[in-house]
Amino acid sequence: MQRSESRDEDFTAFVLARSARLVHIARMLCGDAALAEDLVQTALEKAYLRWDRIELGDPFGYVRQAVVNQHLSWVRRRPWRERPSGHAAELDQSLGSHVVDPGAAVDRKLAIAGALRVLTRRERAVVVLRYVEDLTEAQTAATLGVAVGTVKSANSRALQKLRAAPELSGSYVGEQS
Amino acid sequence: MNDDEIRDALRPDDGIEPLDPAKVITGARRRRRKRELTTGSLAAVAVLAVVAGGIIATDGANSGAPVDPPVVGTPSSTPSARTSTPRATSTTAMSAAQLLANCKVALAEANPKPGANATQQALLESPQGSVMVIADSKYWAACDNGYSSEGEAQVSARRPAGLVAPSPQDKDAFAVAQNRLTQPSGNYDDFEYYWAAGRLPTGVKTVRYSFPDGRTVDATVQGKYWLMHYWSLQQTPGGSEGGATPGATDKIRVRLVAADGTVVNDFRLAEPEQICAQITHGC
Repeated sequence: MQRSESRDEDFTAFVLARSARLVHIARMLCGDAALAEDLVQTALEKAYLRWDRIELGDPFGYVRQAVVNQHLSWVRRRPWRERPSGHAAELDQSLGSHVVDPGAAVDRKLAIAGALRVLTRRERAVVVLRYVEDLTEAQTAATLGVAVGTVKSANSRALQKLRAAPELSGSYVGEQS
Repeated sequence: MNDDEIRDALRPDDGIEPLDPAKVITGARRRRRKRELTTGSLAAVAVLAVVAGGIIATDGANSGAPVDPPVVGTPSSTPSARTSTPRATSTTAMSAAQLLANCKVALAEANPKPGANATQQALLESPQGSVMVIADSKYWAACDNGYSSEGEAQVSARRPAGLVAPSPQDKDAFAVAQNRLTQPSGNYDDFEYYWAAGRLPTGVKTVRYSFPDGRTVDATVQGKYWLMHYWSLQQTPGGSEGGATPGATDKIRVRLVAADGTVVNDFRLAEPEQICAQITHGC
């Protein structure tokens, strides 16, 4: 019983300390605040069931990977005719709901968020892991279960798309030349 | 745009609240109870399938696992060329006539497509779902109902094509739909589901798929068409409560075998072009 209570205390502390960060990552991935919380909730539930093993390693890395995998697999549940960028329509709204920066910074975030819509889910996952989580290309590849070359090419395509996105075109024309 | 600007734009703000740990723990315990119940349900399904037609086979790698998924098709670790006929063992809730009708509905927005007078050309049934090929005089298409949502079978469709047999070199002709099975009543949450169908290339007797879990499945051949579906216990973080499976990201291998055993083509499908999310991306 004591072991179980201690386990729950450790898990509770982890959820309180890290779940907001996980929700942020999930929001960047799926562009929907409610769906993001569902993603994280599901990943954490599964993590709890094997917490004894997970907490000895890198529990945050594990749950983060679970969130990413869950996100990519949930895509596959959607009916046919679903398109990679289709679910991100609420991305800017989702981001805007918690943006606290004033003025231009807010505009900037919303512009980036809108531009993320043009990315495929895998490209978005690469961008989030590389630039939100600061993972290396190798770490990103390991998290997504793909080759490093795949990460490089996806990242390159993503940056090209972001530079070409109308939301950002005004700001970055000079940088592209 | 430089890296720092992207990092800055995507930086988290302070407005996100952490999740409620008690709610997470309660959900996890509910999930565990559901999983325990499902173990019994899956075992019952497997027994029914074996009794009905001996359609379940294992290569020993997962035998004895309490939640081994139903393996449908002709899986074998030492496969041999094989042509089979449809099994009359279906206990699916959706009849063949219903699947035919729903297939036409699913194809409504496709163009070109088999017309309203299209008929069933081939059918691969199992208790977990069926794959059907339909065609008219110009086009064929395939549909499947192995995926359920909210407890109801959902029909997905392969992109229609003309009646010309593909070349054995045409990898796109062997594209596979992949889906994570989620059935609230059965909690198939841990299983990857694959299906595919097509016209048989000239000179090819067997269409053989090998999956990342190590299993090999020979498609069922009926007339000019082949059909395949397969459930895989492919464990990845977030997709299973059993842990990760090393090498689970290996691509699907396809071998096309002639009647004399000669391998006409041997290749791996490209993702996502040829391993499609419920055939939504142009397959």
